[in-house]
Amino acid sequence: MKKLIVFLLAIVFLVPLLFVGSAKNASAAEPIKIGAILNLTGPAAMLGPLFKDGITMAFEENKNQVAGRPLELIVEDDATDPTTALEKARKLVERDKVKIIIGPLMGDAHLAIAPYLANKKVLITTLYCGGIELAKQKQWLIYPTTLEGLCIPLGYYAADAGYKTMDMITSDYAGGHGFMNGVRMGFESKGGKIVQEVFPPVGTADFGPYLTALKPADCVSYFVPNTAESSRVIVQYREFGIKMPLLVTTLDGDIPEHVMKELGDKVIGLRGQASYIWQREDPVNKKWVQAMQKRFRRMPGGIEQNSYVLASVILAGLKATGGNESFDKLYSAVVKMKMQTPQGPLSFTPEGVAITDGYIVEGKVIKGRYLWDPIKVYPQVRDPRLK
Amino acid sequence: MGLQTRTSLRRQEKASIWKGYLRMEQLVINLLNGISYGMVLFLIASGMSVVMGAMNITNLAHGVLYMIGGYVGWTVAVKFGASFWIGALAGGLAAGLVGMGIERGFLRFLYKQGNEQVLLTFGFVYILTNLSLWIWGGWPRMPFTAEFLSGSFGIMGRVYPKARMANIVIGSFMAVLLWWLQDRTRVGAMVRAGMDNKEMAMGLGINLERVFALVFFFASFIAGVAGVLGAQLMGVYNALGLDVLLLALIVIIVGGVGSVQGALLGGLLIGVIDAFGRALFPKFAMFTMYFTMIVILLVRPSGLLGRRV
Repeated sequence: MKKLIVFLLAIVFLVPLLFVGSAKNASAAEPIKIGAILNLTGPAAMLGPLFKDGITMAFEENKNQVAGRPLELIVEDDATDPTTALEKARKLVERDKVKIIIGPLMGDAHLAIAPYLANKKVLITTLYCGGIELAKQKQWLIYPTTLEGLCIPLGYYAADAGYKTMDMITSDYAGGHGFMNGVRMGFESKGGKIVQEVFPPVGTADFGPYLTALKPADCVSYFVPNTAESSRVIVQYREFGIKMPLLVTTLDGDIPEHVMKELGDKVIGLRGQASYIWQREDPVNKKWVQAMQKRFRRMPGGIEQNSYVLASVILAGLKATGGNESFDKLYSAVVKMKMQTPQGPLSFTPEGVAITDGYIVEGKVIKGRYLWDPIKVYPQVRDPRLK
Repeated sequence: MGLQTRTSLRRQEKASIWKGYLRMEQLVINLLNGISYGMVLFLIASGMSVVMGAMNITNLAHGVLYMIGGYVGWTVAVKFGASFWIGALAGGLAAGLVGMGIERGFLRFLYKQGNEQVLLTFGFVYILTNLSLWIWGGWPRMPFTAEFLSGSFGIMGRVYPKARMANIVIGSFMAVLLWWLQDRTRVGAMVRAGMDNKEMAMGLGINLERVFALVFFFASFIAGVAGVLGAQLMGVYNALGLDVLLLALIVIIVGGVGSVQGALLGGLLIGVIDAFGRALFPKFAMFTMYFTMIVILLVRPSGLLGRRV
């Protein structure tokens, strides 16, 4: 019996030594963990799976590996809630030990996790713009640009279209204020005047009281978060027979093609800002659209494009560092990148803010489909507050 | 000179009359906005209020029953192209059946266990919300209405949507119907008797369990129909259950638990205050509803027409 026990103990302690020699090989194949905080539930639940598809495409294009190391994507759901986003960020950093996080989406979630991540040496990205205060941390990749930067072209366009005055409807949260501040910056820089600005709370069901109290102006622009609210504004605006031209922000994210189909003729004549248009005549874009259609059996939009580009940029950065994911090396490699993306040419400021083209589109029926038709491009938009 | 003075005076008079007219038409539009929204709130809250009063059950899943009604109504009326009214009926039936399932399968074992009821029904919020996400996906459904209700009509020189006016008419009809059921029918008398004194009512031979099951089904049915009527304004989306639950609770607190009249008064009051608050004090739009609720809680905690449970 004693001999048996000694024999078993020997096996327990000696057998692991057989694998010591291969430890070096194991760490070389150690996966690069990339976290993603996405909206899989909550008011923006429809966007999370689309963002994930964009990341998946980028990973698959690189055969799920970089510099000989496999990629491991860890997806967490923030339920479109900033408190949950912070919990998930903590989990990714402290339990999963990730050094790279893609997301979250919402501006309030960015503000929630930014202080926590400030000293954590983790590269983090936004998914659809971010506040300029994030740029100061020099830790974030803010794509396609800052909140204000995204909508500055819409302000420019309103002035270029001959409008002198504007009413604004601004959803009362960080993102809303940022986007509409951009419209204001662009419009006022070309001599426009904001006549009225109202701030409906997030989750407003009935925009009627705001719409019926709008002062006369040459045009009305608005931002409200998510498709449900944005479509309500469009439907109620048309129902009340308001004749002032309506300029809409974030059309590519909030009013994609299948939503346009459901809204029908209400979208005809609407103009607004979009950061990506699948119809863009460019070989890089055409190739990507075809690949996405083949992989996911649907036409891609701005949401998938954003996460695809962010993931691609990160993977390109990892290639440049030879698979070294340490923050200092990776961040400095990424912000020096210049690449052609489906959206257009991309580069970054030293603060990590992307410099991209901005599109103005108009709702039309083209070959029997309701589509956003690009009518103007503002090239290489840069938030003027960044030097 | 005299002619010019008379002309300018006439202009000033016209201008002031015009200003008054504009203010009056703005008042009417805001009032209509408030009443139409208030009617939706009444329909959302009425069923929940009666269940709370009659059965002493706080059904936090009431909001998701509204959402299920909306989704089913959309599926029938928009996806399959049936009439809007058949969609409303289908939405009501779907919500009624789900509600009945919750009551018969779970809640009837938890009478007089308030905390457990709250936990159970909140659990159903998560289950049914995720189920709807699985069935209908994350994209919201656009506002939809009957063919003859699409479009607008003229009122005092302004344009007003027909669908909103329809909500006022339908809501009024439903209020009368529910009041008649509550106050003028035998079943209504049984429900009121059960609310006042359960033991006495049972002693008189009233099968309260059956009555309450019927009440729960009907309350859920109304929630489902409200989901379709409300979809004219709000559309249907995945987070609607929780959004609507909050509104229903505010209306019940203001109007009082246990009566159709209370839900109507609460709904209309909140709807009108909310509409005028947003139009006149947009910076405080987030607070007008809650401020009203706080005032009522301080002044009359049982609600304006609250029935003692």
